[in-house]
Amino acid sequence: MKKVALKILLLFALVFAINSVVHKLLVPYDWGDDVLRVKNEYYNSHQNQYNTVFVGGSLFYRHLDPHQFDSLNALNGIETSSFNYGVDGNNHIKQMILMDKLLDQEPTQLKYIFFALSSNSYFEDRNMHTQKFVTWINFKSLRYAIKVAMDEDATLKQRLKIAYQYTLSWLENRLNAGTGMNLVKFKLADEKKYKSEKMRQLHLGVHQDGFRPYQFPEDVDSAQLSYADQLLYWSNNYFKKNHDDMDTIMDMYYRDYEAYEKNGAHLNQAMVDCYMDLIEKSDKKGIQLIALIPPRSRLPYSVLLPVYEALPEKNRMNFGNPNEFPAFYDYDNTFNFYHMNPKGAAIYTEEVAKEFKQLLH
Amino acid sequence: MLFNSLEFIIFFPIVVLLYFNIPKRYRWLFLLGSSYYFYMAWNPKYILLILLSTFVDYFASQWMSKETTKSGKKKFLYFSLVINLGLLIGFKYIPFIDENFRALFELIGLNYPNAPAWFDRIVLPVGISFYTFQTLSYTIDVYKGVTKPEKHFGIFALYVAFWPQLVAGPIERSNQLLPQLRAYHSFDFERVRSGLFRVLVGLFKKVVIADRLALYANEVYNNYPDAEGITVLLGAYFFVIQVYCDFSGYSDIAIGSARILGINLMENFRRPFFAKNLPDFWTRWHISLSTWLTDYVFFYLGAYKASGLKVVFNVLLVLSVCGLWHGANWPMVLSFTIIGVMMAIRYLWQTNVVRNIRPSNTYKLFNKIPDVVHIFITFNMIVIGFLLFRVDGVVRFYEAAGQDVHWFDIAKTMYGNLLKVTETGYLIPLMKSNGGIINFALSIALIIFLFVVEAIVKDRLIEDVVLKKRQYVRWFIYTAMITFMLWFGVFTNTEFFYFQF
Repeated sequence: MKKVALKILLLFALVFAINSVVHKLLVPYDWGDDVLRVKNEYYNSHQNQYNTVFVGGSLFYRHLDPHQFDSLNALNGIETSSFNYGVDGNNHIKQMILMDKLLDQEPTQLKYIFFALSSNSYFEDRNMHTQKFVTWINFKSLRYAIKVAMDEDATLKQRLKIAYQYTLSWLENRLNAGTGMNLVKFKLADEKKYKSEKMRQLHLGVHQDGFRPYQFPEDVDSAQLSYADQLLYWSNNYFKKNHDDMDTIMDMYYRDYEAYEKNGAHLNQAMVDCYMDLIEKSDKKGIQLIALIPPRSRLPYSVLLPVYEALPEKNRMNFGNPNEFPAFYDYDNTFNFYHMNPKGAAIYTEEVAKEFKQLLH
Repeated sequence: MLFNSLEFIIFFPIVVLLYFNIPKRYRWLFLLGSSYYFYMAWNPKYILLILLSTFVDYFASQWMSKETTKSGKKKFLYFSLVINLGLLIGFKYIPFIDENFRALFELIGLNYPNAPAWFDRIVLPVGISFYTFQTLSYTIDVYKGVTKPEKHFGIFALYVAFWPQLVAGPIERSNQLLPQLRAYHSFDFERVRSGLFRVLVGLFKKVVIADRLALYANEVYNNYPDAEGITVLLGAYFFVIQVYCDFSGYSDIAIGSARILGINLMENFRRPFFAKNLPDFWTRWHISLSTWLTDYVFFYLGAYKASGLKVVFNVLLVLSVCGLWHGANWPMVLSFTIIGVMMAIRYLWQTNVVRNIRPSNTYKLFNKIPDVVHIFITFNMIVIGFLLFRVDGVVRFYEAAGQDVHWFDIAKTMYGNLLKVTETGYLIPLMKSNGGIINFALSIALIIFLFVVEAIVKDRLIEDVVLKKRQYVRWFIYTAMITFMLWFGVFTNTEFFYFQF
């Protein structure tokens, strides 16, 4: 029986090694995510133009306007030229990889990296086995994820589940499970398309700076929209019809803040350690990392705030408090329950510029 | 539990490891427990049906063995038949019977009462057709005296529920399986290696070929009004090969898994698409069912001993029963009946024409037609019959989309469109569907690969061919198969097609 077990292990190791080598030789880490791929392609070929980047999920991608941010900073006497690296659905592990890669670039013009603060390494069930959420996971990010997951304020079963989800996704990525055909297509046909003007228009926005707010023209024909845009269109309409529900969400945010102020909350030390490592690394290169608690976060603020407060003051900004920033939750500034419209994005960007000025002085 | 699921990847090695490490006297108990767990992973409640079948057939056979007269034995046979067929009919055929009575009543202008609400809650228990036929064969064999009744209740329960073949066969005979379940099997490296390779072959067929071809077959069937000529034919080819790879893949995994545990299951497929005529196909496709129907229905009816039209009737009846076994719907019954009609025509041709011309030069000329022509014609005959195999699925697809389409209209349209031989309607959208032309090309390449491998292997077992190769060749084959499966497999945990039967 030992002989069979050994041979099976050997076979698995062989398959693993071959697949890992092929994977490494054939494709870049971001090949499974259209938006990230386009942004990486564009940024890498224009990186000398930028000294500031925003790294986060849709709360960055759809809300932070680099063009406006740079103009406001210029008025304040701060010279920035920024690029929005936000990608819908990015979680903090993916952000970590991106920040790691940005910090490893030599030489670099970067002076500021804004990133969305997170407090856990959640992995939604519906994202399992999807190319977008599997293809970027490497061994380093797997270690990050498990470390953070194990330090979460959750039951052992929940923590093990997250660890299992990341491990399985990592294995799927290493073994190219179910992605072979797309991988071949990427090599044969798609690789060039990410450099095309069409893709840039689609994902980088009007100023080609990576900012594309959620907005549909009044007369849009929803039947002509892509599936993803149809979902957004539906969420926008749903919000318009049920905007009273916004009060419920607001209540949740208020309660969250009150609960934290009263009782405090569990601190995910592993998460803080990961951030501190990055801050240390960036300080050595003269880059200032700034963690932002964004408004309308899907993560409870009572969980985000302990991590936030554990970071040095020069490395953090908080825009989550609904008492302090009611405009971010105003109906007129809203696209759907979790995102603002261009008007809300403009207000938010202005606030970030204001806070940034104070942080620097 | 699905063979192509993560649960099975965990379940299988644990079972093997424990099986060979527990004392001999507890092995049957362990296998029985693991078999019930395997089944209950799908729906725990339905294990009660298996238990009922097990109790009924165990006691019926015990009581039968105590009877000395044929009539005495017969009442216990009938008892078993009524309970087993009653369960099968109750869970599988009641909605179909109800639907047909309704249609009949409406036709003659009578009111038909509405079906009770619980009708909609009937769920077809996975594998019921398989284990019912397996237990029936046991009781019939005990009645006929072919098999002695199994005294050990646990071994008998294991015969009914042995997990590798519980939900989709092969339908084993008691005189083959029971002695093996009683025997002690030690760990044998060669046997395990051969079983593991067979499992790998089955997974490859299912995950890489069947599930990929299913994407295109579904595309054609679900867009049947637009598919014309070559597209319908392609869809039907893809579907028939999909079903073959799906079901024979399942059988391969079942046979391989059982072999690792030391138990040999019967071969269920023998290169069916290399059949030179339809009776030949009948002996190569789902062999455990076709031999069951031949032994217990065809021979009971008189087989070929009868003459002329009686044989034609017997063939048609057996094939119709085969269709009904596959699915409680008319397209499925007709699908097999069409094959039966073609077999009957062949029988009449053989007995009335060929027999008369056999010594002549005309016959010698017939005989010179190359095998490949026979194979090609037979394959297309199967495809024509099996075109209906999936029509009920199309009805359900449209029902789910809120459209009421009658199966007959679908069948009429598909056969009508098939006759438009020069048309290529929907061909380009089909090729571009499911990820583009490159995916379509891969599917065609996989079909060619399948036929080439089967042509090379001939009627030998694939593991016998591969495991005789040099070590580096074997390892290359293993690695390539696993890598190819990982890269190009369709991992959506799709159920095996034959689970629905």
